[in-house]
Amino acid sequence: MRGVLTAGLLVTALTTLLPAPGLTQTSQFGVRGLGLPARPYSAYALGLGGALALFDNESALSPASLGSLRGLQAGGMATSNWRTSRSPTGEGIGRDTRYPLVQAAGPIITDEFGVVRLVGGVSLSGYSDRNFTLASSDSLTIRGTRYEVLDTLVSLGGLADVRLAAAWNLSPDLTVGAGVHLVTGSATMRAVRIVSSPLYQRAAEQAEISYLGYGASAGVQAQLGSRLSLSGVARLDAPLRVERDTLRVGTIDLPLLLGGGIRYAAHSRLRLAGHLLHRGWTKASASIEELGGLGARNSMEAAGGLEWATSSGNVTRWPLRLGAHSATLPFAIQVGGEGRETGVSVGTGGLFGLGGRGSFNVALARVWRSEGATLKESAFLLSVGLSVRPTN
Amino acid sequence: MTRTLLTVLLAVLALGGCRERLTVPGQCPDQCPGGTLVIRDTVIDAIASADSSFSGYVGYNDVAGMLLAQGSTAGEIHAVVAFDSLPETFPFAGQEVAYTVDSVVISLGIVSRDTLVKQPRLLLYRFPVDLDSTLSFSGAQSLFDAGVPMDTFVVPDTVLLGRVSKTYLGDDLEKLVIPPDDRGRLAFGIRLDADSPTGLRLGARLTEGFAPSLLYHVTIDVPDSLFRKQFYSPDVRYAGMIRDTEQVADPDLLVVGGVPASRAIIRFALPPAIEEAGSVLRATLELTPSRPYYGLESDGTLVDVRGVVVDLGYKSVPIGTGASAALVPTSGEAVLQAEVASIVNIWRAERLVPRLFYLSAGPEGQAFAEPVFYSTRSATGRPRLRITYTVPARLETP
Repeated sequence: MRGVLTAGLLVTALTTLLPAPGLTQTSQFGVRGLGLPARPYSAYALGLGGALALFDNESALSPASLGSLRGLQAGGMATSNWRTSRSPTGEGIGRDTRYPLVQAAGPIITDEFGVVRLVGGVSLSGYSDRNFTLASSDSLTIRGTRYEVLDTLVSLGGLADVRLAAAWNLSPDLTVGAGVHLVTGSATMRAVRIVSSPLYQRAAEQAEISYLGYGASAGVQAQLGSRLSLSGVARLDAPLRVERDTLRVGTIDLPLLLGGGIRYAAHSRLRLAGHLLHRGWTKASASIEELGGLGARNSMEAAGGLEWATSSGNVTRWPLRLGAHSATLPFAIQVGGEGRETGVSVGTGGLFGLGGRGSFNVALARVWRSEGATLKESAFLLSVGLSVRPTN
Repeated sequence: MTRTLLTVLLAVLALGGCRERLTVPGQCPDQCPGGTLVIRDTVIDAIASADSSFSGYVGYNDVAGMLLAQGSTAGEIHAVVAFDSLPETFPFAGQEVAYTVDSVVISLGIVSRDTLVKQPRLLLYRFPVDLDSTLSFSGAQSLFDAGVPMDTFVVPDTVLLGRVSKTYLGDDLEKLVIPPDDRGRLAFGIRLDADSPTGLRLGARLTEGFAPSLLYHVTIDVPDSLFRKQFYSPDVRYAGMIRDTEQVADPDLLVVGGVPASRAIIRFALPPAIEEAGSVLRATLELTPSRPYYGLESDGTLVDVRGVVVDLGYKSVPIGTGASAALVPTSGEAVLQAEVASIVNIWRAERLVPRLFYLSAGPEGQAFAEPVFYSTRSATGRPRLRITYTVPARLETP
C-alpha cells in the first residue's frame, strides 16, 4: 500500500512538472477541435498497433487491465515523431519528442493466500494534442498599397488525462475496474501577422486557452478458457470547461467511449489481439460550433496485432510484435472534411535488472493521415517505454 | 544485461535530446482556427481646440548653432556676434596696468556645412555694438548693404568640422579699432557668400569648443619682461541670427521650430475599437502645412514627436520612449507623416498615459526649416491620426 502511495506521489509530481505539451504528438491534424486525439497506449501495446491496450497494465485505456499486476510497477514512455505534412500550399517536415504516458500502480489488497485482489494505480497520459505551427502567406491592400503578408499560428499545448483507477479481481478469470479522470491542460495560442514593409509593426496576439473536465471509466476483463480473453471499457466525461486567459468562454462536451477487445493465445509462442473503440464525438459538435469551430464527428478505431515469442524458453526476450490500426479523426480541418489515420507497427522488448525487475519496450510505427485529396501526413513514431517493478 | 540497459537509456536520452520542428505550411484562414488577424485602417481627428503651439523654448542667445544661408530654399540667413568690452587696463598681480595690443585673433567654429559647395566665404562686417535680438532682417540687411566687409574668411574644403581663424597685427589692427563711444566692445555681422546657393552652421555662444572668439595678445606695462606678454579674450555677449522669413504668431496654427523655438501639442481620443484592438501595426500622425516648406537639402530638419507622462499643457515633459521623427521636406506642401505606432501602443498599454503628442524641431533653435501646420481650428488640414490595427482574434476557437 505504501509503495502505491509513493508511486502515486511520483506520478503526481511528474504531472506537475511535465506540461501538457509534452504528452502527445504533433500533427497538422491537431489544429481543429480539441486537437489530435491521443492514444494512451504503452510502447508494448503500440508494438501491436495498440491492439493489446485493453489488456495491458501499462496502458491507460481500461482500468480493469490493472488487475493483472502482481507487484508495484512504475513506468513511462517517450515517443519521437518524424513527419512530413502536405497541404495545398506546400510541404513541411517536422519532428518532436513527447512523453505521452507515465503511470504507477500496484496491489493494495491481497487475500490470505497471497492472491492479489485489489490493484490501484495512477496515470498521466495525453488526451489530445494542440501542438502545431501553421505558416501561410497572402497579399493584402493596406492604405492603397498591395503588400505581402505572412501569417503564423502557433499553438503549444494540449489536454492531459490524469486517471486514478482501481481493479478488483473477482475471480481468477474475471476482473472489473473503475477509474476517475481529470482532464486538464492548456494551449498557448499565438497568432502573428507580418506585413512585408518596415512601416508596419508585427501584429501579434496571444491567449492562454485552458481546459478542465472530469470523468469516470469502467472496465471488465474476462478469461474464457485457457486461450481466450475478452475486455470491455466505457468512459463518460462531464463537459469540458474552456477558459481564455482565465475568462470562461464555454464548454465542450466530451464523448462517450465504448470499446471491446479480444486476446487469443493461438500458440504457446503466438498471441493475437484486436480491439474496436468508438468515441461519440458528435455529441461535442454543437458545443464546438458554438465556440466557432467546425464541429466534430464520431470516431472509430480498429486495431489488430500479434506477438511472436522468438525464444521458446523465455517469451519476454526480444519478442516480435506486429500490428496495424485504422481510425477516423473526429475534427475535420476543413468544412466537410473527413480525416483518417492508418498505421502499421513493429515492436519488441525485454527485461533488465536484477531478477528482471525492469522492462523496456520499443515500438516503431508508420502512420498515414489524410483528409480529402489535398491534406496528407505521414510519420514515423518511435516509442520507447521503461517500467520498473521494485518488488516481484 | 548492463549493455541492454545502457542501450535503452541512451536511446531514451537521444529521443529526449531531439529538437522540435513544428511548422507546416498552412492555408489560412480556411485551415486556421480563429482565422487570421484581420487588418483594418481608420482615421481619427485630433480633439477640437485641444491643440496649440508655444514659443520661447530656445532663444536667440541660447541656440547651439548659428545658421547662415545664401540663395537657398531656406532663404537668406545672417549671423551677428557681439563681444564683451575690452578693459581699459589689464589686471595683473592685484593691480590695473596699462597695455598695448600686439595682435588680435578672430576665430569662428564651423559646426556643419554643405560639402558640395566649395570654399564658402564668411564676410565679416563691423556692426553696431548694442545689437541684440530686436535686430530685424531688414535692419541687418541695410547694415550689410551700407557697409563693406571688414574681412573675408574662406572656409577651406578640408574643414568640415573645425575652426577658421585670422590674425590681425600691424596695420591690420586698424580694422579693429574701437571708437570711444563703443566702450571697448566689438560686434560683427556675418554673411555667407558662395558660388552656389548653400548654408552652413557656425558655433554659437554656448557651443562648446566652437563658439566665436576674439583673442587679444597684449604687452602690459610691468618692469619684469617675463610677464609682459599676456592675452585677453572677451566673452561673447550675444550670438544670434536673422532670417528673411518671418516667424508665424497665429494661435490658430501649429508652429514647430524657429527661434525662439516653438513647440506644439496635439491631443487625441482613441476610440474603443483602437483601445481594444489586437495590435496596432502602424499609426501615422498627419500634419498639413499651412504654407510651403522651405529648408536646406543638405541639412534636414526633423519634427520630433514624443509622448508625455502627465498632461501639463505646454509644461508637459516629453519622454524619449517611443519617440518618432519626421523629416521636413524642403519644398512643396505635402502632408507631413510621422510614424507614431510606438507612442500609440504605449497609450494602449497604459490607460493613464495622456493621449498627447508633443512636437518639437530637431535640431531645436538651429533648424533651417520652420514648418507651420494647420490646427483643429483650421477649416481644412486638421491634424489627424491614421491607424492600422487588427481586430481581436478568436484564438479560443476550437
